[in-house]
Amino acid sequence: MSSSKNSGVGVAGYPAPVESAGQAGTVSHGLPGSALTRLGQDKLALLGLVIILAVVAVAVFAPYLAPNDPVKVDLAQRLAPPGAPYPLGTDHLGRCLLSRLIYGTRVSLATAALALSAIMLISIPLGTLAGYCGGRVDSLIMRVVDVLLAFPGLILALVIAGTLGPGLLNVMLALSLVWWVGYARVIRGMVLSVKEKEFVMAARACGTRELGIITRHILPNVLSPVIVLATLDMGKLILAISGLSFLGLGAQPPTPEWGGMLNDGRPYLQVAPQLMVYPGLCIMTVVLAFNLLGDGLRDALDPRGSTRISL
Amino acid sequence: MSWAPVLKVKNLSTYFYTRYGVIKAVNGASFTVAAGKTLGLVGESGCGKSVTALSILRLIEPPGRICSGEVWLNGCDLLKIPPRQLRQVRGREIALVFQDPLTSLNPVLTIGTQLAETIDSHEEISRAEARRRAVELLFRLGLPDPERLMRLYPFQLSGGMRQRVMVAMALALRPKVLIADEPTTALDVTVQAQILAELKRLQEELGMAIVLITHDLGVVAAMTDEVAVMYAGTIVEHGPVAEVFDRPAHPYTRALLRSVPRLGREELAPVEGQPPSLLNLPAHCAFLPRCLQAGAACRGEKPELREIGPGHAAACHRLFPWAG
Repeated sequence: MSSSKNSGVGVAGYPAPVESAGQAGTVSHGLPGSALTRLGQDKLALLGLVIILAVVAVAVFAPYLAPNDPVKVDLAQRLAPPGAPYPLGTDHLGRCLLSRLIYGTRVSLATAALALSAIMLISIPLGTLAGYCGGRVDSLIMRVVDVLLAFPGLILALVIAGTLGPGLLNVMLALSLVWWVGYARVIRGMVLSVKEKEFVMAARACGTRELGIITRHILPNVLSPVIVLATLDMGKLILAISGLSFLGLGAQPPTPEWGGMLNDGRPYLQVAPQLMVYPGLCIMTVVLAFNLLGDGLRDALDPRGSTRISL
Repeated sequence: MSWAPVLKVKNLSTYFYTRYGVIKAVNGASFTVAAGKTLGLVGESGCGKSVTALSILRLIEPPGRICSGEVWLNGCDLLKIPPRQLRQVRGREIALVFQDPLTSLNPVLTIGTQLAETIDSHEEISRAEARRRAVELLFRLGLPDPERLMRLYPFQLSGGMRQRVMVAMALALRPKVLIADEPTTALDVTVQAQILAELKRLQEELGMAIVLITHDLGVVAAMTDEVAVMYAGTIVEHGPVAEVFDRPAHPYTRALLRSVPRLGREELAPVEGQPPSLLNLPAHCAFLPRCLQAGAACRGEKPELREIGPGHAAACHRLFPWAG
């Protein structure tokens, strides 16, 4: 037990900046300040952040930004080209495309965020439990994870959503039930490595409660990679929700949702391509923005990031 | 000062059940520590010093298991009390300082948070009061500008500062017994001297007993009142430090003392051979293969620790002539 504790100890008397990073790359060193600085220097990540903030603003202020009611049908103006009352034209029921896109932002962001919260709520306790308790609890949780991982995620979500019936809530439910497994696995692995750290033993020797050890000593050391994963997954979730809506399982008419709008516009691709082009562009932009930010976050929170030489 | 033992370890055995067999890391170790006194626990790497320390606080995790023994503190056996009560003992009655200050602090919490949490996990006081006490503790350990230090993260401190923080954390609840597991091994000599001096000073202030685990005989000579020499999981010699150093009785103690560099002595005499594998300890004396004065009796059963002088005991069949 006492051997090998000496390994990796730098020169005493020097505040070695990345003390434990060499021993486990998963442990961040609690440096939000410098991580933010590094994020600030990453132009692509900043671009992603700006786009996301803009999209969030659009979602929040949708009623003020939308020129028309997104669900108001104007059959006289079916498939109207971009013009005066409808800046981007209308769909097959004469609804304002721009307004629907603007309100669609709300649906996409809210559904993805809610699904992500549900995923976190399932995966963090289960992953931590599996990693911390080990033994049978670990085996049980991880076998469930293995089974779920054996299926392609989106297909499984499709089956669950199909069984539950169409609707945004069911899509969120289906995605959360499928998606938590990856997180649980990552969290378990990191908890396994962090719980062997000496500071956990030191906390226990001080008489800290088990719950305190988990919440104060283990989880904070685990969360930064999870945040990165979550940011990257926000984009994937939006894509998945749009995909399921495109297949008719998600948002039901007349709810404006990008995936559903793509599907609605499909028959009119020849006469009114804007009906598919704009929703598609919206999805692409938002997903891209989340991916850029996620990549940037990953680089910024990487303990070895500080040693990178900028050219 | 009274000589009443505050911590009494009796016949402690901790085994590790691995797939290669049972590793007998601690094998029937017994010792006592008196209040306000310091016991040095010495021995080479892997002889069971750290496992002994962890066993006292029941911090052994599977595949390890404390198989037998008693650890008496305040009239209760720590190995038998329920977990809830054990949690009260940890930190408040016995505190542990770990070997490596670089990994013993949580990298994502500030020094202040960690110290204050240790204090208010045991005492019903406000956050502000806990932080005030933490600042006072840091100040007492000779750390400059404790207010500022409270807001720093561990990686911003040097090794010596971190170990002082660890000591502060251990002393936060004024424990009766402090177990220091090689507290200065990872530090350079000047810092080591400072920390040991501060430990000594705080011991006098708080009147606590210290179990100092080390392989540095110089530290033992300077710091401790009594010394227990460990070999292959057992205590082979135990006694007042002056007595053991001047008249070492067990051949292992003698060999250990000879292997320490000293000015004016030409050559070092290393202890020849390897310590025995803890996987299959022999039935006879574990030191036999390396022993220079072994005889026929040594092939018999394992020698028991027996009194050879005032407070001085050794476990050997063929004690050095003037002993036994």
